[in-house]
Amino acid sequence: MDKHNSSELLNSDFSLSKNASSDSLDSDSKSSSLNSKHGQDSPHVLGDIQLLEGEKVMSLARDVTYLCPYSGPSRGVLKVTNYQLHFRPTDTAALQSTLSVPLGVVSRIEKVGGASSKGENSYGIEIFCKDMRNLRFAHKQENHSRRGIFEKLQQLAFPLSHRLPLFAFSYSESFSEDGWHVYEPIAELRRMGVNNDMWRITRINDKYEVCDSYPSIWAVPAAANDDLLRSVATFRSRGRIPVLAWIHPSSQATITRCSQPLVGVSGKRSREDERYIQLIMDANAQAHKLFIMDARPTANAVANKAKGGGYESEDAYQNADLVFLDIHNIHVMRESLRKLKELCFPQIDQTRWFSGIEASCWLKHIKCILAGAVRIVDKVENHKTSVLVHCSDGWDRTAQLTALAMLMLDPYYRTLRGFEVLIEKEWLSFGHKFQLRIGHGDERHSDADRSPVFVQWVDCVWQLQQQFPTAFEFTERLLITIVDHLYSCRFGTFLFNTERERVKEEVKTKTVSLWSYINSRQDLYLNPLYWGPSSFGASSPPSPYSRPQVVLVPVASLRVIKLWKALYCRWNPTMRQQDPIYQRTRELVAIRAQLEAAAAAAAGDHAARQHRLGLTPPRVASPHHV
Amino acid sequence: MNEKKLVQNFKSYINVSPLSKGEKNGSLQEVKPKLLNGELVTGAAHSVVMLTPLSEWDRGRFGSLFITNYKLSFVPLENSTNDEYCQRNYLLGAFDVPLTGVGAVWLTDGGPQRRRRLMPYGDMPGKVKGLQVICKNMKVLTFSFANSPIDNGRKIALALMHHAFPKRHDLLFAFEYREPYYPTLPSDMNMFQRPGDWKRELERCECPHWRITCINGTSDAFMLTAGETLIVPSSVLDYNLMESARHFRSGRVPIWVWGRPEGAALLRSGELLSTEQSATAESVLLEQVRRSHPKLTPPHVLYLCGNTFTNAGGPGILPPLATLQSSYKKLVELCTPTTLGQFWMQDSQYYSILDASRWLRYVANCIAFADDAAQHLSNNVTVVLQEGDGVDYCSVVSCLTQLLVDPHFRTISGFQSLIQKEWIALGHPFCDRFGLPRPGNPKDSTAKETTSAQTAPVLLLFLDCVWQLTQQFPADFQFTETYLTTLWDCAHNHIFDTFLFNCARDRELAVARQNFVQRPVWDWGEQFSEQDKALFYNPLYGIKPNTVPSQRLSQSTFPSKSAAELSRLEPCTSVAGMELWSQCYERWLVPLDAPLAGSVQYHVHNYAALKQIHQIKEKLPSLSIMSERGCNGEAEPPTRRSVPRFYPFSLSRGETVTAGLDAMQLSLIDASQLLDSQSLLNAPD
Repeated sequence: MDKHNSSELLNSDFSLSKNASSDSLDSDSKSSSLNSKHGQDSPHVLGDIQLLEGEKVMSLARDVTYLCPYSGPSRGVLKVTNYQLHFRPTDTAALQSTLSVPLGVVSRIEKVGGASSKGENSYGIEIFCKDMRNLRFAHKQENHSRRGIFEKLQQLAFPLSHRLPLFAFSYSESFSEDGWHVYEPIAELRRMGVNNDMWRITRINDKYEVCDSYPSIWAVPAAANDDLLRSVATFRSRGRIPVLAWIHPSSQATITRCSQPLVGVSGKRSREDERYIQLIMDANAQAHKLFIMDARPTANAVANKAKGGGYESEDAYQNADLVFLDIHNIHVMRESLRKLKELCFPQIDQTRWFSGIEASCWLKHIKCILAGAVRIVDKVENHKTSVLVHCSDGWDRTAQLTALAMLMLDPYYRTLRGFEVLIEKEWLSFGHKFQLRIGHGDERHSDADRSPVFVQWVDCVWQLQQQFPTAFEFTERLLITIVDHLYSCRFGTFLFNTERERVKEEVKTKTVSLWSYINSRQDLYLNPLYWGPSSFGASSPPSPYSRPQVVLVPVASLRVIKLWKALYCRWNPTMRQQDPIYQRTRELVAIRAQLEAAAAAAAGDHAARQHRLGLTPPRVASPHHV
Repeated sequence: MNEKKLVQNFKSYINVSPLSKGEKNGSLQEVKPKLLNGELVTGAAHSVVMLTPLSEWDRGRFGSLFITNYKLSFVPLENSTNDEYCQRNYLLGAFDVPLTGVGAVWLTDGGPQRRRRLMPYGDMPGKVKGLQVICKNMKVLTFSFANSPIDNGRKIALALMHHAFPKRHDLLFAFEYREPYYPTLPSDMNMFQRPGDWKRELERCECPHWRITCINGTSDAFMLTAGETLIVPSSVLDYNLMESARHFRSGRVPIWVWGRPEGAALLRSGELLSTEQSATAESVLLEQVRRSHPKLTPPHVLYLCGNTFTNAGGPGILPPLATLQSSYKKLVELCTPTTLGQFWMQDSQYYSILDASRWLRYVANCIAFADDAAQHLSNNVTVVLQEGDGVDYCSVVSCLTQLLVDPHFRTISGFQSLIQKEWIALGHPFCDRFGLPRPGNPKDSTAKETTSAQTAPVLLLFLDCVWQLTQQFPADFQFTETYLTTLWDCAHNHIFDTFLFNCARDRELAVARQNFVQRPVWDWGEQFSEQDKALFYNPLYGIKPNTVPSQRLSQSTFPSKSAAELSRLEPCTSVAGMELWSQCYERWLVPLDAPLAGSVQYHVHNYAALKQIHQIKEKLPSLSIMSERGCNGEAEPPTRRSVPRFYPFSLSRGETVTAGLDAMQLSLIDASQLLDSQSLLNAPD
């Protein structure tokens, strides 16, 4: 690895995203805090700013005090670039208070105190972040540094509100692999055996005319012609018709996804829609039934009728069983996470910790989503019955459920690359509105469309990881990195709402994919315990559609579902996991590898030695050398 | 759906429907329990159905239920391959419970629903249709006598209530067990029974300013609940001790339990009595303690239950034992749902129930006290723990502190020595806390004594704290959670004397007067095979973090820490950092058990890795000699095994994770040292 690259890694990895991720490779970073990773293994990360390619310092203020809720105030220099906010303490002994925060995580900036404010540190700026922390800075009234910084921050943190481009369009680093090629829709459908007798690929939406929030390529029942598709689209909210998400390799039972039917108060019907649903059912010869899983609570589904939506009546759709999964809407989830943040940041109120968890309802929502996905898996796997999933628009709860069920059913998605494919496919291509839900570069922090739907899904994935430690090729570190860059605006991956917008804005040519970054440093994310089919290894193409591993059926009980402290409590140094067990496991694996190599060497078996060394790259052994 | 599927792991043979009632007094063949030497059957019921846990009415197994003077034993009519737990016990079958392990007994109407709690020596109704036994280790056994011969239910209930709650201490089975005992304790274990044992500890800790006194073994004894040997400041005279003892509860003057060569020591004591001169007596003693510090640093006193004089309470202090007991009861309730409905009902309010129990709060408080003490000790300040009679929370916090500061106690024999020292030698009243009768003539026990005979799970609180530490520091303890869970199970096995007495004095009397055979629980071979014992050993223990260049760099930039400082563990002490000890408390909840689930997978993986390391290591010397023979594939290819979440406490599918690896081997392997010692390995490629 060349020098440039390694410093990039250190910078990005240690000062931005990984500073407090639970699996941070240092085992004793107890004293590190909100901001940076404790400096011992990379002292040059602390202190001076490390600029990314395309990053420029835009503003600077001296004599600013950062009020860390854990290690107390420290004075230093605050810099604002087009990518990050960087604070460097003047006192070299306080270097652990170095702060490097991508501006993408900023949700809201407020002035604290006025010119007449008395008392130490009462005058300054408070920054509210999307990643569950707040930052307080105190300025000196007399040197007027606050106004400049505040204005620059406003402008650079919310570029879209100021008609400026997002940083991702300035960022120009190149990686050994281009992550934009990770997901090829045709290849993924082929992996599942489409086209086949029952399912075909259609390019009817090539110009995004049938449905502007769907991708250009879908798989639909082979028996459904394009005219039928067009008329079904008129009966589904926003034209999001039922299309294939996943197909069972042996039983041909499918998971399809869509939005709600436009039933309305009058109880409208659509012969075409009914016929189309029947075709989906018929495409699976094993069952004479179809389950329609409506993710919403019954009451919400009924209420949607008043807005022209609704749900499939069992009279109109014969052989279809309608099940409501009782998952609440984006507003409830946003409020739930807000309560959780109050509990976790900045200080943990020990006396109301458990009651606070219960009151936030966050884990109950997680349980509900997991239980819903388990029901889908049960129908598809155990009853060989196809399942159609929808909610209202089919881009929030529906994506959560289908992606989760697919993760439980198909071990391919539990590999590092398969997981990237899953996100690209179920979330990005099918139009989860990342721009609206996250609000990249947008100052309207109280916009009702914002909601942590994707983070909630990542939490569900983490729950699966916790329950089945050997089932995933990657560790929670990957999940935390993804969450970090969900906000950071450094990569183009999570920008915009739909595939159509991304094509229009030429995201693939003008920005870097998050998967480029991740795949160039995979070793950091690999799970030493992974027990999966080797055919899904990084080098071989994802062609063999075999499923040698069990389907994951998590226990959707609060006795097993845990709070993801490594994500939600990560800014609190006292909550840092002391000594992650998988780090130690990696070390054991490394020792074994060394011994194996030694044994091979001793046996003079050169070939065997090469083989073993190849199997266990030395970087896994000591990630610090990366 | 999901839960149903999991419940099916437990095979159902009999449908307990009214249909099968016709078979009453049927011609079912007789089954017999396996008896130990000295064990007698005192009650039996036939055609009993043991209901499958957390199922509805219709699942269970036919068999016979026996009560002996040692255990409750259910013997199924037909054997199944699922009848063994992965961890097998030589003394107990899969459906056996030692009588001292019985916590509460409930009457049922034959189903899982409880009707009424049976109290020892209470009334027994004329007809007993079903019994539910809640064990102290949170296992729930439910029996139905609907198909049994008339009166069998009542008879067995009477036998159970009579023998599980004996009136006299010497009715416990340890007094009857006739099997000879051959001790095989590890040589580096310290039993803290003789003055020499304490001397060894004093020397191990290199503490010259303290002396051994045996006055407590003479007629002048003042601390009746402790052993004969005490360690006190060199400067204090036995006479002063006797004088001061009058001012401390139970005569518990501050006594030494651990120390550092630099001078700081750890002491524990009882609360001061509110006598006129007690404050003076205390300060005189503390002054002696100060003089035992080479730097004459005054000691720091930690009031574990608050300071009775200043009334300084605070949220962090430990509760009265009765409060701890009720906290434990709530915890038990949460972990022993008897119907699936109750299971899911609790699930919906899991965190409020957990919160209401306050159990994890007490766990966090203990760890916080220990962390505080450890911090003072590493600053070379002597710490004096003070609490009630000085035998409950003192033991907990003192042990935890030593685990934090002294790596020796993080080994298995070190940990066992620690329990011998703090719990056995210094007299934690196990009989009282476990609810066993006190030794001696029951008529002797006066009314005032019974108030202090509070039942309370102090040992469990301690084990839970230790478990939290093993979770926070997965490579620093030689023992695993399986070891801790097993220890808790065995604490209720009254064959062993370790947890059977209130104090050393009682034990000695039993040995002298009743030919009592001491049988320490630490002889794990009495109960478990080598392969089961291997699961006690943490495969990650001793795997040192890679010494990477950056870390060396940090050591040069920051002031170098002393060895003691480096080996000290700094745990998270927040309630938010505590977890429920699922393996110990929830292992019998079948719906939670699932293959390939849970953190046990780490251990399974690591045992396999260690096994391979061991195999390669054995073959290495020969390899270098017979170079060209093409002996690749020497280590078996990694065979992954699918084990369920609560392995080894799940009903087995007949596989052992540690096959080919026994405890002795495991304890010897230190993989990191292995690498260093093999010069071959350090040779450049």
